[in-house]
Amino acid sequence: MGKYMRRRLLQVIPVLLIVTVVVFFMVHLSGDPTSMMLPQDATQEARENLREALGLNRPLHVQYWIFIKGLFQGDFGISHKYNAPALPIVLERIPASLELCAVSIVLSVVIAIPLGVWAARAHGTPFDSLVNALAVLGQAMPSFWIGIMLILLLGVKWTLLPVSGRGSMAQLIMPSVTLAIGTSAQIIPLVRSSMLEIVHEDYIRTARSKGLSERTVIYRHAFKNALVPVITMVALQIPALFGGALITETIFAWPGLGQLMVTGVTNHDMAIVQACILMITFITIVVNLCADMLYCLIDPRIRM
Amino acid sequence: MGKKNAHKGANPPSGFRKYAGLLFRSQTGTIGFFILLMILIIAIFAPHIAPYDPTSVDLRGMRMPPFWMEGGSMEHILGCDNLGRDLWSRIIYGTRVSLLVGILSVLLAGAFGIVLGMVSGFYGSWIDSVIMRVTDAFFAIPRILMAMVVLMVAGSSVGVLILIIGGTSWVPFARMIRSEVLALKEKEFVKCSRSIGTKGTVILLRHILPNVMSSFIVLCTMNIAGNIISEAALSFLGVGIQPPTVSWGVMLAEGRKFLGTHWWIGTFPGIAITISVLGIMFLGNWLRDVLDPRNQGIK
Repeated sequence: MGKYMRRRLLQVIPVLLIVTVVVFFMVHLSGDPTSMMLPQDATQEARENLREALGLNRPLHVQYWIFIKGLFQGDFGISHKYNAPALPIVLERIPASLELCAVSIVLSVVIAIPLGVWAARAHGTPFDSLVNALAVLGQAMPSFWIGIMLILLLGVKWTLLPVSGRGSMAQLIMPSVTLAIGTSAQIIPLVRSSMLEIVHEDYIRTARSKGLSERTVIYRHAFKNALVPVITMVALQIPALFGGALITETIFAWPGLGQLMVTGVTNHDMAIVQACILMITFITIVVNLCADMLYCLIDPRIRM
Repeated sequence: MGKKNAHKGANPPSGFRKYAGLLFRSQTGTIGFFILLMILIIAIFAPHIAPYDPTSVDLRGMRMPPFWMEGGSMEHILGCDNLGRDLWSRIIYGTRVSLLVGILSVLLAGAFGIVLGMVSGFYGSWIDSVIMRVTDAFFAIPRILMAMVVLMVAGSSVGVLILIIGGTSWVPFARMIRSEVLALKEKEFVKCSRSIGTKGTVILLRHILPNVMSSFIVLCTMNIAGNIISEAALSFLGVGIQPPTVSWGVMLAEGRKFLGTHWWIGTFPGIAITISVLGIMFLGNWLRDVLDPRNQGIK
């Protein structure tokens, strides 16, 4: 197990480095950053001064080296909108984002696992078809539209829940449900199919023939094993979840990283945008690593 | 392609008729096919189908509700938006951008992913490690974030949007094709070909490529759905398609501002996205059941 973990941890380093390269080059190769930081009628001289100040006139690899060195020293650049270093501004937003994502993941697992297991147990019945249909629909509806419709119904029409902000439990409900619908729709079919596959295994037949109750067979024997692919699936959903959170946070004015990033893009605040994307990616990688470790604990075959 | 797969099943498929028969036997497959057909027709013949110019402003029809509500009329069946533009016509024109971006970006991502996946799986060693770490990195960066950064710097147009959505969605292609190639590499027919001295590139193109095509087609179909949603999301956030070009995402963003008073402006574009994505997913699921031998027997 130790060996697997070490190898897995070592793999993270090149991935992180490549991420910085990708982000850096995307920003520097897709256009001239000064064109969006200055007003359209800025003089050539002002442009040149800004380029000089930002170090854009140096060769790319030198710029990248300065960028990387900065990252290691916690220097993510200066936000020209806030007139302050970008890192503290970004760090401040992390708890809100983590809260939203964690609650949505828990919520989607809580929705998806019982539905998937019940659908598998009721294989071929109308209930099974209904769950399948709901899962497909959940995947087809874009999360931002779900959010808008929730606001329309729960916020505007029936005024049951507040439509924006963060602070109370009530404010957490709509954004997390918005995110959880899409995520659970992805997990349900997997829970269902992995349960269906497992109930045909020999050890389940053995458990049944021993005269164990159906409950014990399903929850003690089948469910635990069906969980393995589900954990992978949940982990795979995480980048998409953070991507979805970006829009969800904007819709519900949730003060997280996603919202900061979107306003950063609107304000052309390069430092904030870069810091956000790096931070979100870093969190994604760490969460995926944790999922892998969990996976390893649950399924001893992986450790080989 | 049917003939090349013949060794796998007992009944070799006999072309178009066989697939048409299979399609109409599957309920969801049929629905998906007709939805996609309908969208294609709407997109191609948009100017002939749309009752109004999607960008023409009519102040008399400002925020007119759909026809079944009080104040609505059959002249604007889905009502009008805040500038009096006919929603139905705008939705019709919106199919164009969605399909264009969806399909072209998938072709780009697919081409990129299939090359990387085949090279990575077939040649192994350090090439494989490098490609896989790059894939991991691209997988870890949420796609929409990457797209936003590029669109912010490069400015947005349909072309840039296709490039960036395609350029960020190749990861599943590379991963899946690689795992298929890894399995195929150990098959007898590849080993035989190798033993008589066939060159690597020839094996890849002649023996491996045809065998990964079915999974590739399935993945392409599924990704069109995802990329349509990506385009709508980016346009919704204001970094994708820019008005006056009509896109469902732009319509949703406009509709969001009037949720409290004029629900229809933000509701119908979302329904249009959901129906299109649903149709494409249905067709993709059916294709997977039919083309992918591993799924045979699983309903």
